[in-house]
Amino acid sequence: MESIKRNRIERVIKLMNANGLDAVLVSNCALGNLNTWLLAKEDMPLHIPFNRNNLCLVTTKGEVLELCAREPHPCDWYKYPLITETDLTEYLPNKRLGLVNPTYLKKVVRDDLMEKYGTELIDVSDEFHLLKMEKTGDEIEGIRKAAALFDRAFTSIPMLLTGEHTEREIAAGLRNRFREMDAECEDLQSSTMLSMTSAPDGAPSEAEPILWPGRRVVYGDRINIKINGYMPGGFASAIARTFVIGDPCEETRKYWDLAVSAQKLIAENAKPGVTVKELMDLFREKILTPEGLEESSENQIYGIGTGISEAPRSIDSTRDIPLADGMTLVIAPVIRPEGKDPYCAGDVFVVTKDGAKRLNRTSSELYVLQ
Amino acid sequence: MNYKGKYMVNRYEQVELFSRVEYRRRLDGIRRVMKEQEVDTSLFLECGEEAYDHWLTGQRYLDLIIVPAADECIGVCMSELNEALCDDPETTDFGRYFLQKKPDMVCDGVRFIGHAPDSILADIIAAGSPRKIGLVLPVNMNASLYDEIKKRLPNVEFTDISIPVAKFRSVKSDEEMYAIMQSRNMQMKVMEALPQIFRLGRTIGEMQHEVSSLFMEMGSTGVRNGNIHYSGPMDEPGGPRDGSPDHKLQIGDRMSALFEVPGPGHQCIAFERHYSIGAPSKGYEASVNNAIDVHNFAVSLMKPDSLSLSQIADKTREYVHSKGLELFESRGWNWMHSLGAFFYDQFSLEDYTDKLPLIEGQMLHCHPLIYRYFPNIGPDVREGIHLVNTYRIGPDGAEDLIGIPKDLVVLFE
Repeated sequence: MESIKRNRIERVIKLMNANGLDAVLVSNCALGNLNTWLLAKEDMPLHIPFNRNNLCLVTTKGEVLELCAREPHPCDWYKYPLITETDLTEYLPNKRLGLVNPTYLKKVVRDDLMEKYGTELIDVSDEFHLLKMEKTGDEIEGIRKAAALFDRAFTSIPMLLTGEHTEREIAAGLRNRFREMDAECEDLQSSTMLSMTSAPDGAPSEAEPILWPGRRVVYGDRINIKINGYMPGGFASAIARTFVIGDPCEETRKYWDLAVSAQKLIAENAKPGVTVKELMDLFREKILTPEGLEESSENQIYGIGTGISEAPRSIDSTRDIPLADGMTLVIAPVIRPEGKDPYCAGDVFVVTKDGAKRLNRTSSELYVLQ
Repeated sequence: MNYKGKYMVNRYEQVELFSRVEYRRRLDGIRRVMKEQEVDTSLFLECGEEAYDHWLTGQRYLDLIIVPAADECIGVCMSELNEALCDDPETTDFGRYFLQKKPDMVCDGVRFIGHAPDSILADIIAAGSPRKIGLVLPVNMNASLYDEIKKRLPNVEFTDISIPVAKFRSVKSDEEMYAIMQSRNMQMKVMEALPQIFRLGRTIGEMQHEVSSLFMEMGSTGVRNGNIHYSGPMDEPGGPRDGSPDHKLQIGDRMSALFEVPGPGHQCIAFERHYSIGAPSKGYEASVNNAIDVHNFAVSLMKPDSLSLSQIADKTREYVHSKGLELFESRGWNWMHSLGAFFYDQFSLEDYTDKLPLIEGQMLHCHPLIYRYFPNIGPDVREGIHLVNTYRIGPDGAEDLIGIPKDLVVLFE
C-alpha cells in the first residue's frame, strides 16, 4: 500500500502546484472515505456518523495530518488533535488553502483559519474527485481483491436463503458471513449495505410496511439481493444477483437474461472517451425501450474505489465525464417490469480500451435453488 | 419477544416499537423547549451523532433536522451514500440511496428530503422568517450553511438549546422504557449463556464472534458496542481490549462481558460483569470488589434534584482516595452518562450537561474506573477495572434496571 499512498499523494501535490496552494484541507472524510484514500489505510472505514469529524490536511511536502474539526465526541474511536489547537503556520506560508468538501467545513474551523492565518480558501473538490477516478495498477488489484472477497462471501448466500428464514434472519446471516470475511464494523448496516426483496416468483413483493417478524422466504420465491460495502484492504465492492427457490417462471428467466444482456452491452461499450450518460442512453435505446420498460432512477453505473459510489455516476452531472483507461465502475443496470420487483446483475468492472472487464468472478446465471 | 402488530423498519432492519404517539410526544417536547427558549426554529446539527435522527423521526442516517415552531419538520438525508445533491426538496427519490430507504411509516409532521445545497436548506430554514434559531450541538454548524442563513436573515439570532433538549430527552417515557428493557432482555439471554460459551480451549476471537453473531440473530442492528473481552491472566495486567483473539481460554484467565448493544426497537442499555476462569486470586477478587464498592458508592449519590454528575464525580473521587485507590479520569472519558437511542446520549459527565442536577425518570449508566496495581511486577504497573450497570432515577434514587448480582462470577472452580 505504500506505493499506492505515494502515488495518491503525488497526485494531490500536483493539484496543489497547479493551483498555487500551500495545502489542501479535506473536510468530512467520510465522503468517499477520503482519509482511507489519502493514507492508503487497509482497515475497514469507520462507520457513520463517527467518521464525519475527521479532517485531513495534505501539505506540499506530502505529509497528511489527521485532525478533528471539533472536540471528539466521547464515543469517537479516534482522538486526533483539534485543528483549532494545532499550529498550521508552517503549512500555510502563502495563505492559500485548497478545500475539499467545503460544504462540510465547520464554521468554528473556517473562522479559526481566517482569524489565525488570514487564509484564502479555494474550493478544489471537483478536481480532487476527478484525480481519484483513474486507478493505478496497484489500486485496480486492490479493488479486484475486494471483489474476490465479495465473491467468496457471496457463495454462502444460497445456504442462507433455504431453510424458510425470515428476511431479517437472512439479512443478519448475510452480514455475519461478511463479518467472517473480516468486514467487521460496529455498525454493519453501514459497512455491508444490503438491498433485498423477496416475493413469490412472478408476483410483486408485499407492500411495505410489513408486520413483524417480516416476510418469511419460502419455496417458490424470487429473491433479489444487492450488496454494496467495504472489505478490509481499503476498497469497496458490490454485487447483485437474483435467486429463485424452485423452478423459475418464464418471465423471471426472460428478465434475468435481459438484465445480464444489459450489463454486457454497457460493459462492451464502456471504453475510454465514452461517458456514463452515453452508456445509459444506449441501455435505454437498446434494452429498455424495445421492451417497453421504464428507466429506474437508481444509481446504475458509478465509480468505486475507497468509496462505494464515486464519480462518475449516472445520477448526477459527473455522468458527462469521459471514461478513461483504469477507471473502476459498478455496472448494475436495473430492469424493472411494471408492478414487479426489479432485476439487477451488478458487478465491478475496470475500463479498458476494449471495453470494461469484469473483476468479480461470480457467475451471472440466474441462481436456481432446490 | 412478541411484537405482534408492530411493523418492520425497512423490511428487515429493525422492528418499530414506538407508536406515532410517542414520536409526537418527542416532537411536542422539543417545541415546548423551543417556546421556553423563545426560538422560532431549531436545527439539529449532525443529528446522527447522538442518534437525534432516529430518536426524533424514526429514520437513521440524517444529516440535519429542521424543526419550525409549527409547520412540518424536515429531515435531511446524509449525502455520503448519495453524493449527488438533490435540487428538488419537494420530492425525494430514495431509490438513489444505497443505505437510506424510503420511510415505511412516516412520522407525523416530518418530511424527508435528499441532501440539498445549503442555499436550498437555508431557503427552507428562512421560510418562516425566524427571528431566533435554536441550535442543538451548535459546534457542528457548517460555515456555508451559516452564511446562507445569514444572507437571508441578517438579523437572526442563534442560541444554543442543547441542554434543555438533552434534559427533556434524558427523561424516558413508558414506551422508551419498554423498548430499553427489550434490549436488556435480549442482552441478558446472551449473558446467561456465557457459562456455556466460555469453554476451555476456545479462542477469544471465536467466542467474540459467537457473541456478536448471537446479538445480530436476536435482532440487534445499528452501532453495537461491547462484547466479551479477555482481561489477561489472574495477576498480570491485561493487554489491549481486543488484542488477544488467538488466545485460548484456560484456567487462570480473567474475562469480562461488557454489553451495550441496541436491542429490538433500536434502544440501548449497558452492563458489565467479570468472570474468573478457575478460582480467583486474592488480588483479582479484591480488585473486582473494589470496583463494585466504588460503583455502589457513586450510585448511592444518584438522586433526583440533588447532586449534579460532576458533584457525584467529585465525591466519588474523594471516596476512592479515602480507600487508598485511584480513579481514572481523562479528557474524553466519562463514566456516567445517559443512553437510549444510542449507547451514549446526553446527560453526561464531562459534557455540557454535567453541572445539572439529576432528574427523576432519567436513565444513566455508571462505571467509575479504578486502578489495580501489580507491585510484584513493578511499582507503576497497573490496569483499570470497572463494573457497568444502568439505572433509572426514581424518586428515592437509582433503581437498578439490570437486576443481576454484580459479584465476580467464578467458572470452572
